[in-house]
Amino acid sequence: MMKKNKILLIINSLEDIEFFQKLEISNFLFPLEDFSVGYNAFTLNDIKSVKIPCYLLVNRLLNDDDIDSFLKLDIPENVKGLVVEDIGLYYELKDSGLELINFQNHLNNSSATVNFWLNYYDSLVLSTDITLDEIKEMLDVVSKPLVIKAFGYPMIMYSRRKLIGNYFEYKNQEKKETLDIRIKEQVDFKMRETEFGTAVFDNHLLDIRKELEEVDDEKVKFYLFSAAFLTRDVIERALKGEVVDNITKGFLNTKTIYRVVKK
Amino acid sequence: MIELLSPAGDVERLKFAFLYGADAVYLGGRNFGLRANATNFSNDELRENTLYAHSLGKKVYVTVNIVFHNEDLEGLKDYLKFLSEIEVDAIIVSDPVVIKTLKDENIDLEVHLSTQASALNSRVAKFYKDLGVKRIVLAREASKKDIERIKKETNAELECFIQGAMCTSFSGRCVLSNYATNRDSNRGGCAQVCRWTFETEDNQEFEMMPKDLNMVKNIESMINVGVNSFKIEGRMRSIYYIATVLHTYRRIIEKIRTNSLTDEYISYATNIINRVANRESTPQFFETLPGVNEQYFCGRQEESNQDFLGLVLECKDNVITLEVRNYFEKGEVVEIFGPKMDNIEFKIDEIIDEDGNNLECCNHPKSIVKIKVPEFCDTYSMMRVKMFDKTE
Repeated sequence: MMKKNKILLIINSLEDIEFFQKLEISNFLFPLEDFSVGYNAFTLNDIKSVKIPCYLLVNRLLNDDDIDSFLKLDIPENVKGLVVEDIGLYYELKDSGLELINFQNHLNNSSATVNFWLNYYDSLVLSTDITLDEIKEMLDVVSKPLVIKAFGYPMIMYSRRKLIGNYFEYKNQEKKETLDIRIKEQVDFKMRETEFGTAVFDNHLLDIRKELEEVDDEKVKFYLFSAAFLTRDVIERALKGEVVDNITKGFLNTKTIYRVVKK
Repeated sequence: MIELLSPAGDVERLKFAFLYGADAVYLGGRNFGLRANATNFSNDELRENTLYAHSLGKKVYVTVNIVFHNEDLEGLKDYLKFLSEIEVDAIIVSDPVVIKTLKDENIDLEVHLSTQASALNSRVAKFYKDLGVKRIVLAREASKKDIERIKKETNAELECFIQGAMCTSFSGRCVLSNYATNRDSNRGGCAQVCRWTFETEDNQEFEMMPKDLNMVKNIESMINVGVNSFKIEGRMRSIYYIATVLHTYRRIIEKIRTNSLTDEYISYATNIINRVANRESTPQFFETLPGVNEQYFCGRQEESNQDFLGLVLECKDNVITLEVRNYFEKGEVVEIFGPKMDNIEFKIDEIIDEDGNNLECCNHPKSIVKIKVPEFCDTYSMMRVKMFDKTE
């Protein structure tokens, strides 16, 4: 089983903290209100109140006004670092003394790309679009330990559009914040919308805990768990190494295909 | 600098793009581009057509914009050296591994940051400028205010899309295709799953497909906030689409230059473009966030239109030799538009086939006929159904 002190957990509410601390979880990642999409978000006051070292998730793509607003925030002292999507925010914070972890969903797929970003960042969240062999190859050559998503619904699309709100407006029905959609019983997705856009998740739990036992633990900074859309009970079972239902291995054992013809 | 930038999915499209007013084209080689299903260009075609473009005083930008996996890096260095050797004008890049390879290998190529990197702020632009990137292709989500600020803070060369299909997602931040079809959207295999019809949890149809982008009425405003290059989407679109869209935007830019752009022309141009695109189009994110009217919902069918009637191969003594593309008949009122001519409208009085026979109609695509026209027409001008009253 993976070491508990290497698990970084995205939680759903402040009440979860004590519960998971009792399960020996000590690293928490708080999606920051107004600067994150797809997850239950927390205010800086929430984060300050918990008085434990933690990380902030800033996974929105930002315009200049957003960055200006962020720079005016009074980041609490218990925040160790940021998991950040937008390169522009990195550019402003590079000398801030905060630990900065690159979180470009789906863009960090080669060892050379990862090492490029590690020249700038303290760590990086690896894409979920690569195979286990590719993960192992990367860990062999990376210059700093990485963050690997191990458990939770993977976010597979991020739109600036209000896809759920527009749909219900078109239908002239009361708006919902979340919606499950499917394609003919084959593929199904979860959507969550805020004023900053819509995040789409696979409707199967990415669960690669067992496979990650094969990787070089020294090269892993954190194993990322997300409680989004899940009850405490499911996370508890995962943390105890138990089997959970409705899982996917993502692309861990399946290469994606495309039609680039090589000479 | 105001540049009209066209897609070129293959050699024929490249030639029509230049003919109809593109200052530059973007295209993919057989490797490393995000349109794996387009014909694209062999290395020989890249060399030959870069020379051709330069002979016209025009430019060629090559997409090297996949998100690389380890296995894709094989051959990258040699390909970049080749592109440098044939002196393409720039490469379009999203994965920084390409920039690193250029530096490590001391390869001289101008770099444009792809829209796949979703640059929305001046700080991103500064980061990439520091890396030597010359031009930023902004995220399609950039608003007028965003563009203005980025220009003001960085003075970077800015390229923005003005016409064509939109991703539902931020570009590069979507792998629906990977999950639904196992085709990698960030390596050129996107199956456009966001354009499929879904079912909701209560068995209702659900769609999230955006209408196309159309910046006809905003070009002047884009020029004023500092956009340098105006990019048209659609490497897999037809020569008729490319010609129509370029012809329309080239005239808009010219009318802005001569201070003669009118609301009537904007309305006419919008109609022409909506018709050729076969989809409705809107300015999307430029002025405000797109809402319910910028999307399609539930059961929209896309049917190709048959407006493109024929390609003019020659014009002699006011008689055109036409390669037929779609059905038309004697007595029909049609329109011809071309690269260097004013649009002309006329009624078809007579159709003569290659054997000198009088025809009542044309219903054989690629057949050759002769038609009398009221004025001289350019070679490679196009005859189409007369759709709207022209305003020029």
